[in-house]
Amino acid sequence: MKPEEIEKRITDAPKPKLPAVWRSEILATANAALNTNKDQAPARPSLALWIWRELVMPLRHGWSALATLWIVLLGAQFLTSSGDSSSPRSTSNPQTVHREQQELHEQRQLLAELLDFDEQKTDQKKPTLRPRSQAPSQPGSA
Amino acid sequence: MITPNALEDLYDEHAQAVFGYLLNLTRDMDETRDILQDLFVRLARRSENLDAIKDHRAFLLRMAHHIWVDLIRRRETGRRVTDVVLRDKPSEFEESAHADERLLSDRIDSAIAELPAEQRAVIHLKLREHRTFEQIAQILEIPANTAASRYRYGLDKIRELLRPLYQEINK
Repeated sequence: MKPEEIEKRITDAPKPKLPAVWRSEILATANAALNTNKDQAPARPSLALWIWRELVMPLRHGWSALATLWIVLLGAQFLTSSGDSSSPRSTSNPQTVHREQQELHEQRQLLAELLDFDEQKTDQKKPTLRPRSQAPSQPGSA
Repeated sequence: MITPNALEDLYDEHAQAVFGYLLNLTRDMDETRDILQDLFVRLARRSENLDAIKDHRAFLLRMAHHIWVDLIRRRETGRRVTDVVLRDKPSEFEESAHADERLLSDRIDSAIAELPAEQRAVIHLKLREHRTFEQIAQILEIPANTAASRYRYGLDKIRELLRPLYQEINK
C-alpha cells in the first residue's frame, strides 16, 4: 500500500460526530465559570498602578534614557558651579580682594560726595523752621 | 473577558474539529468530553478576549493538546502512554458500509491507535485538519522538522501494519 493511498484514506475517512447533547452541557458549565469569574473579578487597579503599567512599563527604555540624561545634566551643572567658585574672581585671591576693596572704597567716596552735594542743595531749598518772633524782619512790615 | 455569545460561536465553529483531534488522542469518549469541557471552562476564565488571536482553531487545538498532556501527566501510573495499544476503543472514523472498506478503515484506525500519541497528533493535524508542518509545529510547540519526521515515521508504521491486510485483499 502506497503512503499516498494511506494519506488519502485517512483524509477521506468520515469524521466522528460530536454528540449534540454535549453542546448545552459544556456551554452551561463554561457560562457558570464565566459568571463565577465575573463575580471574582479583581477590583480596578489604582491610578498609580495603571500609570505604572500603561505609561511607564511600555516605554521603560525611553524613561530610563530620560532619567539618565537628567542625571548627566545635573552632574554637569554641579561641576560647572563648582568650577565657578575656583575662578580668578574668587575671594581667596589676595590681589582680587585688594582690588575689590579699592573699588568699594572708591564707590563709597563717590556716594558720599554725591550725598553731600545733595544735602547742600536740599539745605538751600529747605526753609528753616523757627518761631515767628524769631523770624527775620521783612521790609515794609512793623 | 470573553462573552457567552463568543463562547457559543467558538463551540459551533470549532468544537467538532477539537473533538475529532481529542478523540484521536484519547480514544475515549468520556475523556474527550472532559477535556473539551475543561477547555471551554478555561476559555471562560480567561481575562482577555480572543480578538488578538488570528487562528482560533489552532489556538483551541493547542489548548486542547495542553489539557490532554496535563491529564496524562496527572494520571501517570508508571506505564508509558505512548506504548498503550488502544484496542476496543471507539473508532475515530465512522463505520463504512462496504465490508472490505470497513475492514480497511478498521485496520487503519487500529494502526493509528498503535502509534505513539505524538505521531497520532501530527498525522491527525496534517491529514484531518490539513495543517502545514509549520502550523503543526506551532500547535504542538515543537520544531517543524520534528513534526515532519513524526509524520513520516507514523505513516511508515501504519504502512507496515497494513501490509498483511493489503496483501490479503489483493490476492
